[in-house]
Amino acid sequence: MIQVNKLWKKFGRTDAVQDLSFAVPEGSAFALIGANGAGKTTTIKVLMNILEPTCGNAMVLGVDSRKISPRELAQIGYVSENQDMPEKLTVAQFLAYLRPFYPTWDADLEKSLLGQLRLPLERRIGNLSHGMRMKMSLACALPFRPKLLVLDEPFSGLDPLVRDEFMEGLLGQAGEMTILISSHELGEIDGVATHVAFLDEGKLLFQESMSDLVARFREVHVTLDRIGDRNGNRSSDEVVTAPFPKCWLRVRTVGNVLSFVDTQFSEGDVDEQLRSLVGNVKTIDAQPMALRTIFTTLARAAREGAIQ
Amino acid sequence: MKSTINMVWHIFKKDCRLLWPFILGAAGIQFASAGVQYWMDHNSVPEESPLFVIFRLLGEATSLAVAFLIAAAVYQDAIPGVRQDWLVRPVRRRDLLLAKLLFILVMVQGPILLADTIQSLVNGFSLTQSLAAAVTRGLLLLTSISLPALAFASLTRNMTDAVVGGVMVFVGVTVLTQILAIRRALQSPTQGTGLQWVAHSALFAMLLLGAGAILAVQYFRRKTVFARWLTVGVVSLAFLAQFVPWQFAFAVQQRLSPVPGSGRPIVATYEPSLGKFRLPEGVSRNAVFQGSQRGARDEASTVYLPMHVAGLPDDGMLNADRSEVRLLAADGKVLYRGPGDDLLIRKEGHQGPVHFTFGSRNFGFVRGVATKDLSVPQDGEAWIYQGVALPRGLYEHIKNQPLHVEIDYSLTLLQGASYAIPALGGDQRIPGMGHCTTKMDDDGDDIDLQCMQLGVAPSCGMAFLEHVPSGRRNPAAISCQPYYAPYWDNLGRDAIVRFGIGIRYHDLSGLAKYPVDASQLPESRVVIRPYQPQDHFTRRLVIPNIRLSDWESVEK
Repeated sequence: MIQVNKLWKKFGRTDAVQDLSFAVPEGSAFALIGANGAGKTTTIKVLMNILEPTCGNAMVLGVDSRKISPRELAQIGYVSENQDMPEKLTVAQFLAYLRPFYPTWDADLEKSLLGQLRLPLERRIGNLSHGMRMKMSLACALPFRPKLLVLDEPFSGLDPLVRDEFMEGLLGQAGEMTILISSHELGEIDGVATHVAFLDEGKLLFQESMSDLVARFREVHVTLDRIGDRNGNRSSDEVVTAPFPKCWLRVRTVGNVLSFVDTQFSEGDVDEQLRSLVGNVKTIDAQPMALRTIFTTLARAAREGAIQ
Repeated sequence: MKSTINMVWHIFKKDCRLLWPFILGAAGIQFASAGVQYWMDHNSVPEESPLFVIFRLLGEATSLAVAFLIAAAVYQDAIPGVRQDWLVRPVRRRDLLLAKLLFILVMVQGPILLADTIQSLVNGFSLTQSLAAAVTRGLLLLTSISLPALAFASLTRNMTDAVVGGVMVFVGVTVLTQILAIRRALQSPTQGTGLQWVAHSALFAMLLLGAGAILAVQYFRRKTVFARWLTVGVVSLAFLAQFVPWQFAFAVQQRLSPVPGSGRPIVATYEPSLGKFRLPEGVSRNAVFQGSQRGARDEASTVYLPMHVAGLPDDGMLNADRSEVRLLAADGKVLYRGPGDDLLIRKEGHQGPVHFTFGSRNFGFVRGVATKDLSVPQDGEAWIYQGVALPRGLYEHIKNQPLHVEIDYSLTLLQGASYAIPALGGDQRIPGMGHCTTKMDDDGDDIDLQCMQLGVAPSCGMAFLEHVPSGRRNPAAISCQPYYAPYWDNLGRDAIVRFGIGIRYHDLSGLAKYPVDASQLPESRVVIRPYQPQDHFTRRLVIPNIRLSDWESVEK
């Protein structure tokens, strides 16, 4: 559905996106995550042909993003917090304006969405709250049953109630749709995304399916007989980084408990590695991690240079 | 095709819905301006009246409203930027551009066309004439103002951007103009001549092509940075269009001569037997005229070369659009190259008197001379003088040297046709001049002849009072501002061209007496003679051996 190949986007001397490559499989819900300024919105704007790539390319619905035509745009829904809409039009007028552009517009679906999202039809767009605007944006992006739905920071600034309404509206119509969602609101993505790509300072740190990601990340707590290496040389609360494997992040000791995040978790391997590195292991407790925790761990590690 | 029409109409309707208060405002200003103009056309309004101020303000407001409305329509779906909703919608770029053009045609140009048509109709012109004039003016406004404004707006995101951009362009052009004004040699060759339309046309063409290119780049490629540089190029080229070379402009003009070859009989020769030129009353040899562009014109270093111009047709007028003088030393070295005085020769009837002008509009000094006041043959031929004003230093240096003189003339022959209208209360149509009226002016010393024309106004016109029973005539009043545009390039306030002339019959100081005075006005008529260009041609006058000091003027 989307194939990004060695994509670069520069603004002056700043590299907003660097050598980015990833693929969004058809039917997936692909989450582009990263901190503010990681390059998520820039990437999406390139995909939508709002910005031109500096080099590399992106194929969207089989077409080079630079050549996206109204035919492709009629199959792409786009929701963004950074979207200027005609403020003097009412919600109803704007929907009426959009309808003729989409041959597949489903009036019944529109009606149902308006009811579900509880949008005031006669209110001017300029008088809508931020949350209402986001819901209206969604209501404008779904009635033509897009093949691809692109959501750029859709949850930013929404209160929990509106988020729920938004998510219900989205999930209710997801169906066969491919969704590309950029966000740092990981709690919302957690239950939705099937795939995830992590961007940091314009670079892709990894991309994989959510199930693989969740499977390979574990927060591990190891209870030791006493703190130290096999020879008993280390005995303090300091953060320990070496000689542990690079796939162990945030390694630290508190009392006789050694904690770390294993980014390549495998039940047997951890046990074996721990015993060879620290020897005197009493218990090993490996807990699955929420996406939010994975994200914060990776973000910190990236900033500390622990991962490239 | 049907889909395109539908979508263009759909976007157009959206823009109208969003901008209707501004559309009404701009149209209101346009109609208010037309109303004030109508009132001023049909009522005697003193120049100090506040109505003039209101009229001027309405004129400025109309221009601003038009520019604002065009920009506002473009900003509904702005091109630069990354936040516009239309960018992610299946909107065809072509449809968007066509919708904006439709908006300009209907909502910007439409009210102007309507106001122009109504104004012409209420002034007594036919519907066909009124519509034709309004459409012609509308097309000119579209190509020279609306499309460039649309292109400029497409480069900017909002009004603030547009104002900043506009100020930058204004400052750039002003600085360029000032730099060129300091270097006096870089003047527009056609400025102030009948051929100025060639430069205007080049400017219009440049603006139209430039606007088209910018719109194509912006609407189909969205390359704003490139389009902005393109704009700098277009503005520079448009600015340089005023420097279209004289030879090129005149060659174009020659090809457009209405009666080519009619100027063939006209011959200009050097005629030293005429003797020295006597300055008319009020002009001294010590006079210095300060021109606005080319320094001073010093009578003490001005020579008047005697000439005979033969072959002028009856009621004809010969205008030297340009006379380039070259003074060469005996060894062929060019000592001076510059313009000669303006020269306009007018002949009345077959054997009738001949008049010519000397001096230069560049120095704000042009005087008419009747050859009957000179000691020259009165045979219906033109015995005249060509003035050549030289820099004082150069003149003092070369005035006693034997010189070779060459004058290259670019000439236009104009032909007059006479019409008459009662001196008081006249109200009739005159071919080439439109709808004309006569009345006594408020001071009681002039007959005020006012004409309104839809279309090209005559380049030159002459009018005099004639007492019908006795055939007595007052001196003619002449107005001549040659402009030979083959099309009607009226960018004025409306579709009507207004021009008038005051014909004196009474001297308020009591010093002069006129053959036709106030008591004879009821039995008098105004004879009007509009002049139309017939042929454009060149002549070269060569004087093989001359000493300039022999041709200094003498005072009466």
